[in-house]
Amino acid sequence: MNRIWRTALVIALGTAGVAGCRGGSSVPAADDKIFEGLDPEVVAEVLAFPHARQSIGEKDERAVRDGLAQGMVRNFIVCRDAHRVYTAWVNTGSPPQLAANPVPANPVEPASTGFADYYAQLSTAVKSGEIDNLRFWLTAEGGCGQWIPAEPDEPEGPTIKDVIEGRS
Amino acid sequence: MRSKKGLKALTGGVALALSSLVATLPASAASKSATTTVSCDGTTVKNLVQVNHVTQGTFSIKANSASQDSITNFSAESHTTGNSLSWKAADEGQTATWNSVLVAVYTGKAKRVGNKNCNGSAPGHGNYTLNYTITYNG
Repeated sequence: MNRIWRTALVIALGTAGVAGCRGGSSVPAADDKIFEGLDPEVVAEVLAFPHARQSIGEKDERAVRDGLAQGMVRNFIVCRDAHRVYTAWVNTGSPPQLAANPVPANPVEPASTGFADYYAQLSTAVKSGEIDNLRFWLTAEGGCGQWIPAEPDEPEGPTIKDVIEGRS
Repeated sequence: MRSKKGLKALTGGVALALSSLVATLPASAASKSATTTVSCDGTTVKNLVQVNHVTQGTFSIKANSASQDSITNFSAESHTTGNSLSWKAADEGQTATWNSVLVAVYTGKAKRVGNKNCNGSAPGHGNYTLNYTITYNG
């Protein structure tokens, strides 16, 4: 092996080593302990959803990656339930009860505490008695309805916002 | 001398007025500026600074300066839920603005609009230098 190739190999191995030390940018597996206590079907759905995979994979720090992956699963559960409440409210004139905040067995902080605040915002919107507050929570910039598909088996289908705004 | 009942009513009224005042006070706009490098490949997303947007309202990111004649696509994401703001492009000196943004801790995101060789004859697309300011309700 000549000197140039030997140098190239050393650089390549060194780069791989650095990437390994950083933990790389991978997506947690469905059986990771961070998903314990959460609905396995939703876990599988989120981990197969391209937008979620890309976003999680972009994070270099493992704590951020894990917190985001766990939060996304909780968000899918909560957002779909909020949509259920909204639809029933439209149809019946009063909101049914919101499902409880899904709490994982191994919460990743600080994301988990942040999620409790997020759920409290939703709860406040429902308890306000104003359906427009819940509609806004679901469809505003920074809202879950902008990117979460309305139906679990239709990842390319309309988002919750699309359905609420009649674009489905 | 006021009666106890009158004093109680007065105190209650003052408390109500104060709470109304607090409820109607506009949130204070805060801002954070920083300089970073962004890939010229047009696809790699660079995380910007994190800000705590504490009340619903306007959120913006200004591209104060960008080298290599680059236009930047901006967004922001909550690392708690994955909720994010829609991508918006801003040329040097321009501002991407989102209205009525929900409360959350957001991490800004940036990527170049389109790819460009910023690296001359060296391998890869290279990077450009971006100076930006995020304005939010702090």
